[in-house]
Amino acid sequence: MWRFLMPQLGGISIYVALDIMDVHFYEVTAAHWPVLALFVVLGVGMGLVAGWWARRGSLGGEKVSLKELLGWLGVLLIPPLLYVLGVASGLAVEAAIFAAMLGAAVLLWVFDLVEEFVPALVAVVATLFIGLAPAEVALAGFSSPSLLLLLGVFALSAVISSSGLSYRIMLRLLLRLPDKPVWHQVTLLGMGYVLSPMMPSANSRMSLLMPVFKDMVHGLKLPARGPAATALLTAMFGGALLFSPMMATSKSSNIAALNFLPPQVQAEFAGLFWLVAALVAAVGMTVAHLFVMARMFPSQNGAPLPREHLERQLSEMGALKPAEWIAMAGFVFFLVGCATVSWHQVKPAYLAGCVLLILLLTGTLLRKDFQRQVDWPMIFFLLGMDSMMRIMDHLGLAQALAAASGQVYGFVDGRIGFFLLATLLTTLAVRLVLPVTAGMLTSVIILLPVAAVQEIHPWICVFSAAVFSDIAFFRHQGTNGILQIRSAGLFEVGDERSFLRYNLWMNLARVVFVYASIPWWQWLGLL
Amino acid sequence: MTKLWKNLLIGAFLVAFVVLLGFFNATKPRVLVLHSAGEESSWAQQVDRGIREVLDKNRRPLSVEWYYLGVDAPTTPRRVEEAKTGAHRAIARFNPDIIIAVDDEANSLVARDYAGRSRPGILYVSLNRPPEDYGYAGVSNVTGVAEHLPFAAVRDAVGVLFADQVPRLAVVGVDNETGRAEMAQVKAFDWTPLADGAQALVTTAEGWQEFVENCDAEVLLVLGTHDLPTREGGEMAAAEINLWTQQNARALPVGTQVNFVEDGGALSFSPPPDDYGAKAMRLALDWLDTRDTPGAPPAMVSDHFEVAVREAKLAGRGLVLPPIYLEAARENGTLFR
Repeated sequence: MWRFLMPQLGGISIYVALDIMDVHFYEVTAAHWPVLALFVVLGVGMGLVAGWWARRGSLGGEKVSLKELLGWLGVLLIPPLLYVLGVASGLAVEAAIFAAMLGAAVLLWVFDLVEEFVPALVAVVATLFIGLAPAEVALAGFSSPSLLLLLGVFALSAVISSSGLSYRIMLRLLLRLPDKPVWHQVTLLGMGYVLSPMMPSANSRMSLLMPVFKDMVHGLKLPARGPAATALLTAMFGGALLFSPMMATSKSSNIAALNFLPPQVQAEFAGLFWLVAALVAAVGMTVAHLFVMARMFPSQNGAPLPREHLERQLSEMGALKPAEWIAMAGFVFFLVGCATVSWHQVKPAYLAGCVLLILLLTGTLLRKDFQRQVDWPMIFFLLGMDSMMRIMDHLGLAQALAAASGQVYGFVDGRIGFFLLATLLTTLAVRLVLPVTAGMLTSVIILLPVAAVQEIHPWICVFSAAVFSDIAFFRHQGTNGILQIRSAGLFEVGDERSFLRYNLWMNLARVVFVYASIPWWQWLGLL
Repeated sequence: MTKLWKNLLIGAFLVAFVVLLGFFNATKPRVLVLHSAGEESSWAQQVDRGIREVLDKNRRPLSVEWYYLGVDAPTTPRRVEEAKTGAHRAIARFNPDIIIAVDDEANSLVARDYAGRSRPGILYVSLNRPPEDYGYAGVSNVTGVAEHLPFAAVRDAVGVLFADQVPRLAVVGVDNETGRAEMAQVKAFDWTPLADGAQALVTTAEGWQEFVENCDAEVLLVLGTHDLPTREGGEMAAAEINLWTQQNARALPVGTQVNFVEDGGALSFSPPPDDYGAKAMRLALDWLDTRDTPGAPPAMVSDHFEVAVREAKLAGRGLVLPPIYLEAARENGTLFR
């Protein structure tokens, strides 16, 4: 007797033992006979075409990997199977069809079959096609303030680079700082940390750091994919990402999750106390980052910095050009605006919109720059993911999952160590299919009721989910910034394998330092 | 493995994507809401509001279409026949799984023709005549929400307002399918201790006005009003009829439709149309979801009603309602100054 375990999104328990010999399964399969018929027709059609091609003697040609073929075969067969299994196991139709769509998107990502932004668009189009959600939900990501935020920040980043401002800043930094690689790395890390409390998006921070990174690699004449360039890349990545869970305002999902907490806990953690409670993890992660960097990319005493050459370059650049002034003004405006949101109450997204207007109205960003320099695929990817999460929310699947999975956590039994383990496993499982923001929020939705029952402080639940959601193993999980690095072509500059090894060590460090925070939380009275 | 196989698989995926999603879309459940009234009818709009409230919460992919017969007011047989034929054409084109037939006309003219068939299912709403009259008794593809006009509430309120006398109750309505069904309910109801007054179903605005002016009862029960033709070939709107009745009747008019007080009346006890709409769509969704309760859900009778009061008009007639009525109206948002 074959039995399959499959996640239950809309039922009573998290797992449903589906007996494929069950009459109901056959009934459902029989009711979907056109699906089977279509696959038979497709199979026969493919065989005929291949046969015809073979008779023409043109079956040879460019080879493709077995992985790619298996991936496409999976994308073709698994989503319909997921749908039929879902319906047969008693899932609501909408949950079964969303599971099938999610399955297709994950397979496209995991097997790396298309560009990253395509699967999210596939899901959005499919949703609209069958009326699973109205257009105002399915396209909500594209009409949200995030669009302005991404456009503004990406445009600003492009202008900072193209105007020469980032190169000028980099030259000044190199000339002022001691001529040691570790200082260059710490500078990028520090810049990311400074931006973090003001800019609640790791992608935005990364966009602003990228021009400085690129110019630094160029100015220092670091060999492509060498350890020095890779070290700088990891420093930039660490600067943009490591501080994300450490303050309420440094990650958009932290702000959203804060709203799930009781009002008095919100008031307590909305400000600096979040950082105080996260101190052990923040310091630990920074130390771990510096340690891993030192071990993986030891400083090499390369050629001394060509100071005279750099000074000559700086003097040749002359005074700040108008475009640089405007880029700097836009940057300062955005930074100061983000830091003073509590006073003027204008959202960072609308400040970014103003920056975009400044760049466009002054002619600093021209039509062709707007077309070429803005990372449109990345914008579509992020907004497409946003839309996917809104569809999921519209269908109430996160809440259904939370309701269904409640009884699984009985093993925690009020022990913080086990609760953190439960948070880690849940977040990793959810992150297999969801991006960082949605993954964290879904984990929090699932785990907050567990924390309440187990008498564990809800902030610990939110914080640990925030830290663990930055963990990424697979390529499609790189919504924490790795995909952005890939999209920007920075793995042509830094070595991807070394970078991903660094990331694995930091994944481990995240787990270690969350656990290491337990005594600190006990001392603070949170436990 | 060559690129040809990859291209074949991509092509197969694209074909499967479009065909399967198209098939899913073509076969997803369809519901046709068939109104007796026209699209501009206040009653129909409020029923639709209830339907849409439930649809907003529904997550199951569903196709819903609306069709308005527009035969609630007296009209020519030719117009009725046209509306009926149009509705049958719409049903043949849309091929719905369920028809939600609102009010008696939609059931008597169209929906009853499909009773006893395997498809579509008939879900009647706000039916004033007994379902058996339409051949629905014991038929497996029919269920719905029958309407009981809130006469018990009217009788109780009139008893309170005219506590020291035995008031006579006259009744006026429009001579159409719904009006005749409502009048049948009036006749079947035990109005004791109220005394019977004159009763009439009219077809013209002048007929209505004459009846109201000549009515010498203490209370005038106003059944569902509709736009009525005048003898000169014009039309008197339902809202005008309601206001005129309130202003010119010697008897206290008590409405049985939700917009009677809104149009200028003093007091009404009416079935809640949005509640009917919501109930109907909930039943339809339950019917379509065969997982837990396969087959048509059991039929139900709705006794719910809502109170609407215009205090000043009542006070003008020297009548005072107990606070419980006023608070019920206030809670419902139907307490007018």
